[in-house]
Amino acid sequence: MRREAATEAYLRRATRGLWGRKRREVREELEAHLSERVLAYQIGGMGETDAVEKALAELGRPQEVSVGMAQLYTLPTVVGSGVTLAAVCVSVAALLSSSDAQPLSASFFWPSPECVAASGQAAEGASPRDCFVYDNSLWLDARALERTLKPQGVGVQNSADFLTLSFPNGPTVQTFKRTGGINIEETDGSLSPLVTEPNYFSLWGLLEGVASHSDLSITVSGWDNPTVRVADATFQVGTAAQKVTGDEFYLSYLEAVMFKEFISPLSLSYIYIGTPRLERQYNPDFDASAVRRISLEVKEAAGVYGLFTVIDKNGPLAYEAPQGETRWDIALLTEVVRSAPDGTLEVDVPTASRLRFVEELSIDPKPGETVLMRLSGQPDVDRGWYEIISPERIVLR
Amino acid sequence: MSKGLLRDNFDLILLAILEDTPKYGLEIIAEARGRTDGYFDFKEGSLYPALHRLDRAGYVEAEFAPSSTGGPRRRYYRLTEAGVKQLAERRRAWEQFNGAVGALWEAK
Repeated sequence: MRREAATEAYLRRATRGLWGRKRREVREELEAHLSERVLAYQIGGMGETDAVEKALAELGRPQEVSVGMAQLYTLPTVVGSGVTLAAVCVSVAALLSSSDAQPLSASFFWPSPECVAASGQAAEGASPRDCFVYDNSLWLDARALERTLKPQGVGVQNSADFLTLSFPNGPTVQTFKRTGGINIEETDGSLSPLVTEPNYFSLWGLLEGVASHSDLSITVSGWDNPTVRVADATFQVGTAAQKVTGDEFYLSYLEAVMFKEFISPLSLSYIYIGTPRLERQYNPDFDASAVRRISLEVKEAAGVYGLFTVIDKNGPLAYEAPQGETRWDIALLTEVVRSAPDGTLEVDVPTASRLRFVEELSIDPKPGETVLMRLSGQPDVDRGWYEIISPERIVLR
Repeated sequence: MSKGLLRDNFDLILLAILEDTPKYGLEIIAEARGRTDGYFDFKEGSLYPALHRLDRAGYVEAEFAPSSTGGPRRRYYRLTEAGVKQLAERRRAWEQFNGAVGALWEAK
């Protein structure tokens, strides 16, 4: 079991940040390397598991590959004069059930469980067109967005490389569309259908650009198929046919807060992140006994909450680490959840740790350190895009 | 050996190894170790970004070819004309440097 998981985990991690064909090529190259090494060790008398471990250890940390490659092949997500690239600064408003703007939609692609099952693999670049996800990033159809925003008075320029939005009486935001990475070529040289489709752009790339303008307000509301409001224009992320769940959407947001506010200051580089709720759905090897559900009672009003907790980096939940060798600097479990009408949150937490709710991680974070936050409604870091919360009570379920 | 030294000369090492025939990753690693008696030993994962960097710079070109073991295809790298020139230039510079340092050490 561990052999498949360890190799697959390495390959995924080592090609993180790459796109389409380039990702497949690098992956294939590394697979060939591993396959031959393992075979050589086995011929030399080693067992398969040991051979895989040794071959992986010799390759070193996957980031040595991914960081080096990303520097060569990754493009910036936001360009614009004088705009500094900040971490994602998306804020989340308290849940609203209605908005006074027209409900508009941009078509969007995300792996539904059916899609994942049908393709028989974790979503990668070469999957069918309705399964389109890259590393937890959300990709929107730029032409659909244009059709949605133009009637609202937003100037939209949609060129091959850039998406430029001009807000009424407001600034211009430009985002770089990763069209090169999305034009997927098949190994036989033919072009996949995605090449002929309208270009896609990263939602977070756009929102980063928006959030960096202090005179542009931005809020997100709703859970499934959330609505994004920029200045007076709105659009919906997800459609009836292609649903975007709140879990998926807000996890990206939590991750951005986590990295910018808590992880980066510790200068950690090798980070494992797991989300039990999604693992249950997509990961057949997920060890459900390693987590348990608890209820947190919170004083504050209804809203969207995020939680992350440090877990044992050698434990069963950080399953990608090969046995006998600590490869993670830190391992975390994350959850996002809406509060129930009675003010409780239901989350999955590791069985092994005693939770200690903190306001910041210690220099050497220990399993159990937990941060609970309410994702607030302010648009930028200076105004506070989250708020640390202490639960009033914890109830085991 | 010090890591700084390896980083500076990694390109030169790789170009030199590719001088004769096209090679793929594992072959390059074996050659680096073999020809230098294990002196040049590096974390293998760092090889691939370096090769891709040389590819992007136009000093090598790469293509996939079937593997003799029936496994996944191998990616073979060969020097381009620009790569041959670059190697010659770097070699010249290295030899000049070596000569100068050698002269310093010998002078007593």
